Amino acid sequence: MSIDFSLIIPELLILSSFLFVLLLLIFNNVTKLKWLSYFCILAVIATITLTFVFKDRMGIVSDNFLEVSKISNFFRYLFLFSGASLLISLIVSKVEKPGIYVLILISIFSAMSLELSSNLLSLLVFLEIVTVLSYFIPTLKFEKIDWLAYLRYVIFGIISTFLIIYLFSFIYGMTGSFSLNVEITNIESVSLLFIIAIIILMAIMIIRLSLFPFHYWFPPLAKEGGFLTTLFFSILVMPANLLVFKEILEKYNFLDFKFTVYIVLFFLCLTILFFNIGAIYQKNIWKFLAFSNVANICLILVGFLYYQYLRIYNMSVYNMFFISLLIYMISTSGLMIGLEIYRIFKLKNNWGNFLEDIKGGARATPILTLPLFVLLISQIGIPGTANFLFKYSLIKTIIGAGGYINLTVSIFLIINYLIIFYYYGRIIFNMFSGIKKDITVNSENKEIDILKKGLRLTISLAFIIICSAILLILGIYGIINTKFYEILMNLF
Amino acid sequence: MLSLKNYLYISTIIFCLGIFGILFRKKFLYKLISSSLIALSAIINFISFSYFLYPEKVFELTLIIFIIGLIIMQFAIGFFVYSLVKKEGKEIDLKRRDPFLELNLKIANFFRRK
Repeated sequence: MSIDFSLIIPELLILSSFLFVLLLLIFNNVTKLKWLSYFCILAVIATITLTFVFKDRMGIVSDNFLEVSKISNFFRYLFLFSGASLLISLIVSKVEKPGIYVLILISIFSAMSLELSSNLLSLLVFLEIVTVLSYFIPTLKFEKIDWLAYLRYVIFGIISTFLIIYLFSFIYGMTGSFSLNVEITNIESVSLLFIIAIIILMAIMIIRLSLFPFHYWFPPLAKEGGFLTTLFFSILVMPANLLVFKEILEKYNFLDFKFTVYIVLFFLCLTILFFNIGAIYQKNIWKFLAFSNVANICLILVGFLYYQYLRIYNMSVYNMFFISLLIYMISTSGLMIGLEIYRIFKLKNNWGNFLEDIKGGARATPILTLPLFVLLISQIGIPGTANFLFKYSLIKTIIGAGGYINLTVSIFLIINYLIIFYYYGRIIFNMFSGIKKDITVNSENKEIDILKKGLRLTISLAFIIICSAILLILGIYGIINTKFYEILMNLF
Repeated sequence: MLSLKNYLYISTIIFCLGIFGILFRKKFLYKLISSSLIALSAIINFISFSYFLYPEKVFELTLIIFIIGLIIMQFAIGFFVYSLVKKEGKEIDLKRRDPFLELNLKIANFFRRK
């Protein structure tokens, strides 16, 4: 068993920086937080550069454990991006607990290694590292935590982990190996095991992505957890879980029967509808965003199912599955950081009813308004933004496939598009309407002060402006060039 | 002598008991202990499969021991969280109104007003 360490240099860099920060925390006083945060961001930037330098080096790192491929490189970028935005969010919200930097670095490492794993055990271990770290994130706001939501989150996390182990025991029984590259050959003889495995997989998926009956897994926690918890879950924990399901579904062909695929599709469509209707009635901004993000993840999963099992998509649209995940990450992280900046500089206290609090936001913060507006319309999927291309081509291909079921799915998606248009349009409308008198807006924080606040604001502002610019450029260029997804995928 | 089927039946019964406990017990600790039954049934599955179907694969057996370690880690975290909340003096009962009941109540109130 030979190991070529040069293939996992980016991961090793993140791991070494984690150890460095840990040593710093142990042997030094923890007052140099600013220094720590900039060091972490530098480490992430260095890792992105190294991933790009070594992108052409592909192969198996160690026998039957880790493998580097084009798709794994893409996911490395994705998780590095989410790590970078999490670090920027720490700088924005001035988190005074230095241990969280260690936590973020180790979660980036495990999420990056998740895609490299070609073994069920390493897949489980890296997913568990991300999940276990997610148990500690909400406790950072110790006095404000919603204990019931937190306990529910922890217990269902533990139950779903045990269910994953139970599922893996069946896979081991069917294949005789933990490797992801082994095919299930004698399905007939183990058909009962196979059906049980499918049911368990669906149960895990429902819990881990907090779909309809288990919708209280993540959104209630986001309500009290606030900015950092919601961001961590939306851009790191949920994509990591989505990645694991993609891997298992792709490698073991669990949904080979069309009937089961249609059941899952119907269920996902209902969940999207349910979450979008639920989002309309939310008054807490983080819970609202949690609902919206779960619906987004479900939409990405619908696209994946259409490619993987119904064979309607061609290869360029398969690339679009990855690009849609990228777009989701960029728009979500940009929007959340933008809203947090708005809260810090324009609201006296925490968010109340966010629709009231955001009234007159356009006049109060002209610098923030433009990127926030772009991020909001990108969430809707208005033509000219990147999200439009994904939604449009998904609905177009489903309608083009024909058949009653596909037509029903497309109608569901169109209804959902209208609902999303309503609730994000409402925020945009309130942003551009007049300031309500009974809302206290900080008069001391004028526009010029934002630039004087120093490096932390400049970094975060630059981040959301870059995010919105990427979404706009992708959206406009995607309309002009139809083969744009293929070009973009070749970059990774 | 017991065959593979017998072991699988036993593990399925234990699994069902675990699911039953999770569904019908409301306390955090009971749910945690019920979920331990699922882990137990998974371990029985692993061991029985490797003993009856793949006795020659030693490497996989070592990985199973690793998985057992992972299960123990999960328990440690569960009990840590339990003790953490207990210290705070909070009620550790997972009963609560469904958030979507609020929506239903709103709709009901709307029609009542009319």
